[in-house]
Amino acid sequence: MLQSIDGIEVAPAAVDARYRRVAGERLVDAWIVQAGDEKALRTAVPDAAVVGA
Amino acid sequence: MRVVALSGGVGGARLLHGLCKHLDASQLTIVVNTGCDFDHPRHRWGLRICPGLDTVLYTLSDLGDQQRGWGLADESFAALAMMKRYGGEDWFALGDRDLATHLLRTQWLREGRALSKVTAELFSRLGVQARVLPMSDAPCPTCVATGAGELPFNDWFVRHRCGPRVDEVRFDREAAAAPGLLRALDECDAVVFGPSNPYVPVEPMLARPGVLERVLRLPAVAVSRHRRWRLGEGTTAGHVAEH
Repeated sequence: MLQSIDGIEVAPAAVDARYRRVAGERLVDAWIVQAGDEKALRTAVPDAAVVGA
Repeated sequence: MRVVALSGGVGGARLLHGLCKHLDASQLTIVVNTGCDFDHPRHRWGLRICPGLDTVLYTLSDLGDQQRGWGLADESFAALAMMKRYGGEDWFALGDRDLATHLLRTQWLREGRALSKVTAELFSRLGVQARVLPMSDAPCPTCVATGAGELPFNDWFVRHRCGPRVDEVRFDREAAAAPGLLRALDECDAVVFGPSNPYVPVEPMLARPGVLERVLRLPAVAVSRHRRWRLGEGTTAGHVAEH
């Protein structure tokens, strides 16, 4: 069953997780996110290289 | 630096517009999802409609409607209104000027040209220099499994306004990548994922045979969706989660 992340947004951490599931390993080497998402993504994906936009 | 961009949707097209301004056309190959195309001759007025390609086409040519994010600016819908009067299908809004794109694409395809060739010609004639490839020349429809049955993606997204709850996204995994796509990945230095939904449009592109293993060998950068975008401005924004 697909469930909405939060009903309205696609959080980068969830997108990263989906890409990992599809690829079977880490697919994205670096994320460019807006500043508000930077901390959440670093927390959820500790090995992600994150650049706050 | 040579870049292949896998992107789609309104946000993806905006990113591509920016990439085109900062990269030489020879350095950029754009790959677009065609899993949401309309290609059934008995539906949508018998036209081959490629919403993903058209959003990129209109955005990169600076002809797109910036506020809606899709279609052409200063568009009218008289043909659609007349179609409705006849009782024809009217749930997918085709603008009057937009129709020229679909008519010409359909004509060229019926003459036997490949979608990748037709796409290159349409972009060239609107002055877009970047190389833009459909993910495949073959139809590879994306469907969603819902409690109301299986629906073609745009039936669910547009006709049913994302109403039926989605149990699964199903898409073709066999249609070959468009000519030049695998070579572009072999020769590029990095891959960019746009601020697009991973289920649609990105996964159908990764599912083309030979694409994922090449992407895994490359540095990949992803750009996240802007926080203020809300469901309905993108595509499947409210329906992404693990299962």
